[in-house]
Amino acid sequence: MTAAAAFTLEVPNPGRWPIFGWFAVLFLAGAQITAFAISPPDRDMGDLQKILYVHVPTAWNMGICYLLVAIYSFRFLWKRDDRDDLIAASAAEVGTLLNGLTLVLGMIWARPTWGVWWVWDARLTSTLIMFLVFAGYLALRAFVEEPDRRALWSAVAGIMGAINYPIVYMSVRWWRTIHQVQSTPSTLDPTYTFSLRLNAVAVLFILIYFIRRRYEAALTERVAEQVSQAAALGGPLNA
Amino acid sequence: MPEMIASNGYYVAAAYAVGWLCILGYLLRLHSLLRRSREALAHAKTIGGAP
Amino acid sequence: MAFRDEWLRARAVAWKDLMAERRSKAGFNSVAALGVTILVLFGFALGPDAEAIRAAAPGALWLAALFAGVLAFNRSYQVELDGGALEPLLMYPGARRSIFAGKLLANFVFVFLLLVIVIAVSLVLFHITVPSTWPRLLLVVLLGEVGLVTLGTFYAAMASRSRAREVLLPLLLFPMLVPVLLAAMQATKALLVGDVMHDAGAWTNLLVAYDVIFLISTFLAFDYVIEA
Repeated sequence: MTAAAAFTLEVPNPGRWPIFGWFAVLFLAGAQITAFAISPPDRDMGDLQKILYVHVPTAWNMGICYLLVAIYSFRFLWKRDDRDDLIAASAAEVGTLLNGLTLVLGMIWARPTWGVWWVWDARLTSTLIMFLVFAGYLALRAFVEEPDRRALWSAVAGIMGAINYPIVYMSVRWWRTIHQVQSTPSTLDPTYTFSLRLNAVAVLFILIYFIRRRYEAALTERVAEQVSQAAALGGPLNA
Repeated sequence: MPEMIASNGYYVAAAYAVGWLCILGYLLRLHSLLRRSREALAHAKTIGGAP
Repeated sequence: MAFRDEWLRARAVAWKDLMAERRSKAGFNSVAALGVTILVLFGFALGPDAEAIRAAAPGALWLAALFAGVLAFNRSYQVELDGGALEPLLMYPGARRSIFAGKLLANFVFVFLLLVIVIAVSLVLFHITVPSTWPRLLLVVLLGEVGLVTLGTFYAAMASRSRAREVLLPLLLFPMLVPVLLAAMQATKALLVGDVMHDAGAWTNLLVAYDVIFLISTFLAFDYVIEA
């Protein structure tokens, strides 16, 4: 990293993003209230069905995060722009958060529904594996200090992790079918689709806000790193 | 039947509580990360002797 | 022509790694001893009932090979880390693939020998009778080993050169190995009882698919990992 290259990174401007943050939080609250208001208790599940309004949107958006990780990791390998690496890392962190939340909510739903806290079905198990994969990704970033190496290795690990997801899902599903275990039924009634989609969009806004702010922090820190590196090498700065 | 619905209500409440706790918790983390990164940048600039 | 050069270079790397391993006899012996110890621990965890132990054998076998094998993967980069011999190798074209291929070969031999010992001990400890389907069982073991060694060698290239390598390698590797291990364990399990349900074929096919996917992706990705 030459001194000249050090100044291609600019400190991000928060701009109007904090306002968007407020909007996202309020929109989510509104979406949840709307879902409560317009959908009656399910015949079979009663009130429990309301848990799905948090669980399912979280799961969908977790997938979006990991897709972003894959996309920006590819971009980084292609263009070697540090910003792509930082976006991928931010998406990975937010994705891991949503992933953990999906698992906990899944367990909260499983317990009253089936009487157990956990089932080894394809969806829940794959979600757990993905959590471990991206926990590993975050650990890799934490344990590699040199920025260029960290970015390169994270990109590779992120892409490998992402392509593993369909493979894991398929394996676990095959494992379950062979042992003739009842697969967990899909329990979504079309009546509730609007509320689900509304909440999914709301969580998407939260996701966007989270990734953006995480990226701002990461980029600012990266610029600070380069500024002090350049200072260590000697000479005046024009940051 | 009422007692089943009542206990289910606990689960629903728990789900929403956990969801919001995560969101608020992460917002706090973002706040502290942003502050730390700005401090790091200010510190780096003073070392570098930038105006 | 270039391919032949690459193959020669890969063989050279593999030979160097294996010779280094052979000189430090402590290396393989300790790893093999660890594998056996893990099997014994599984015996305690799941036994002493004969039926339970026999049922658990396929899982215990593969996990013992995995936990012991992990030690081999990190150490396969030790030679270069200590001697700094990596840089000169990198100057040849196609060198990176050769390095990866060479390490894959060396690790494959190492883990194969480890598996021989682990399986032999399992036969005794877990009351396993060698089934009539043992040739297919051998195939499954080899295919599973390919997946294990491919991903292990790949992730060790990163983990061995970072801080906290002992925890980072398993953390990165194990979730990625779930499909391979699952298929290998299930196929092994089916074949040990003579494959009455004819499951083994499907799992074996999956193993082949996984091996192909992971071999290709790791070879492509290794360039980026070793460049840094």
